[in-house]
Amino acid sequence: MCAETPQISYSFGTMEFISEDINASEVKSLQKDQQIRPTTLLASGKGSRCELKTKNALWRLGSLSFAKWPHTGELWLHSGSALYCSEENNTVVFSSRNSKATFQGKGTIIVEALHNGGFKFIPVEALGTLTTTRGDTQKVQDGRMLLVLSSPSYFGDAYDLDLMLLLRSSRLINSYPEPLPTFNQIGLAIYVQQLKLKGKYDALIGNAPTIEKLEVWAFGKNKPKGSKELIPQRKTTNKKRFWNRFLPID
Amino acid sequence: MKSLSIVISGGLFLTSLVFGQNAANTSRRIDSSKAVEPQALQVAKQNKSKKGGSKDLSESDTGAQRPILLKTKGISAFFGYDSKYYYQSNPFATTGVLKSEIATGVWRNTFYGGAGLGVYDMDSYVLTPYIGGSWSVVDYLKSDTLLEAQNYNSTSAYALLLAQFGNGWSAKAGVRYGNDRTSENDQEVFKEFYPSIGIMKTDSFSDSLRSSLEVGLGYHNNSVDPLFADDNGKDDSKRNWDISASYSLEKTISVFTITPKYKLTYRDYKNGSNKDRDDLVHELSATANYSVTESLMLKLSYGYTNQDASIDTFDYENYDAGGSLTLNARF
Repeated sequence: MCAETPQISYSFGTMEFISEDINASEVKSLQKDQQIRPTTLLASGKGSRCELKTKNALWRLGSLSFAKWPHTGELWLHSGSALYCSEENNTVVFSSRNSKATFQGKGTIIVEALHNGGFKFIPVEALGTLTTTRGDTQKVQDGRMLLVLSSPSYFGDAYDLDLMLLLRSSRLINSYPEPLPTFNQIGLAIYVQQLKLKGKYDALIGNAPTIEKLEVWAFGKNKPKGSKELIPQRKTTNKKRFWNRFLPID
Repeated sequence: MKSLSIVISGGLFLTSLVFGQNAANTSRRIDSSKAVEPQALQVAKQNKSKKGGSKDLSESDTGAQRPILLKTKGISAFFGYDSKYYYQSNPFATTGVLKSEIATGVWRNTFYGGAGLGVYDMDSYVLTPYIGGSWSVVDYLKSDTLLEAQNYNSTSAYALLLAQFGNGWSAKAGVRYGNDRTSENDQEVFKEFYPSIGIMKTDSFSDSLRSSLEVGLGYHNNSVDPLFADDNGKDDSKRNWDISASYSLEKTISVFTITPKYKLTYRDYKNGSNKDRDDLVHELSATANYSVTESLMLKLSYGYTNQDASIDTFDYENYDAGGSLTLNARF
């Protein structure tokens, strides 16, 4: 477990908090170096974000997020997204409105709250295991997103994500003054993924309005079957026919 | 050689792509309005708005989540064909009077293949073993009896271990076998085992400009045809250690990729008549690549070589310039 409560090391935009134990109706602006107590609910405005540090871990809270750290080494994410980063083995509990899972290990992990009350668990680079409250355990793999759903929580579908695209478009990774300490490991994770790459779906994963449904938004000419609804992993790909390789690019 | 260069250049491309995302690039994107928004995300957002989606896809700070398909074991294979037609001012690397008379066109056709034998994540580095080989047919195009007799077929095979580190450096160790046989009578005139080690570093200055630094050490354990043996009848006089350093830039301009490169090599000979010989070789080259498709590439190249040997008779200069076509398939 982390040895101390998180402390704000950077904030940008509108960051506010409420202390449940003092006066729950009083909304205050966040200050740099502020300690985030277990009863502090942190909220970020649109385009706002903050970074928190503990003795051996770093947390980042994305825009339009609402979160608290109820215990040392535990994040509760009501909405929005957050990033966890540590080079040391820790036990970290990730929870959302309706789901909970425990990560044991180290690495850089993004979690995103889902409309259905669960959350996405995205290990950008990580070594360890994730255990749901139902008792299922999975070894985490770099770039493989796991859905943690329902209560008691279980694993939904798993999707391998394009890490290079994620890295280039993630504000949780890029929009902070200091680079992540695990940047070298992230580079290696992307390198391994590029070596293993077989094909890419012409689609982007969105939110999950219900437990049964995951939004998948198609782009490009080859619209995958099952667009705008849950598509099974490894079913559709834009892999070209062999001879098409030798025809001119569009 | 062709397949080996594909492995190395492919590795360099990947590392520059991946490790070009350095801390400086990150800090440049501190303003969220400047964060990279991939084209795919824009298209998906348009599609979504047409369908009356309620929320902006880019609203989440997580980043774009595009599903991909991965090989389970990371084993890959490639094969291809390369045809190069070029002018060579000094094909036999001589310093004598023959030099200007034997300048010729050369047509080299190469078939190559190889395989990556998995991707092994060792936590602080990633290990990737490769094997491969090639077969080339080399024809001198000038109508000259001496040159025509020197047409040859070249065979090579290699095993290579590539270690990529998180800081952008990579290390390689491998061994290559090669032999040359004359086309006319299939006589082996040269064979060599070349064990070598090297380190490489790639940097990215921008999305279109990358650099690569490489330092290597190897031993040319070769044998030549007894006809070309030294006065003592030994065929090991061309064996040498070499140490080399090269620096190259890769600039993308429109559809072309321009790659200027400088390489400096020091060779130290230990055997026979070459016992006291050492060479310093400067190589300056430039290539312009155009990828017509994922698997078809056209290339223009120019090269200049200058060898300054401790024994003057081995000094030489050579220019070559030409074009090539490469078909490559990866699986």
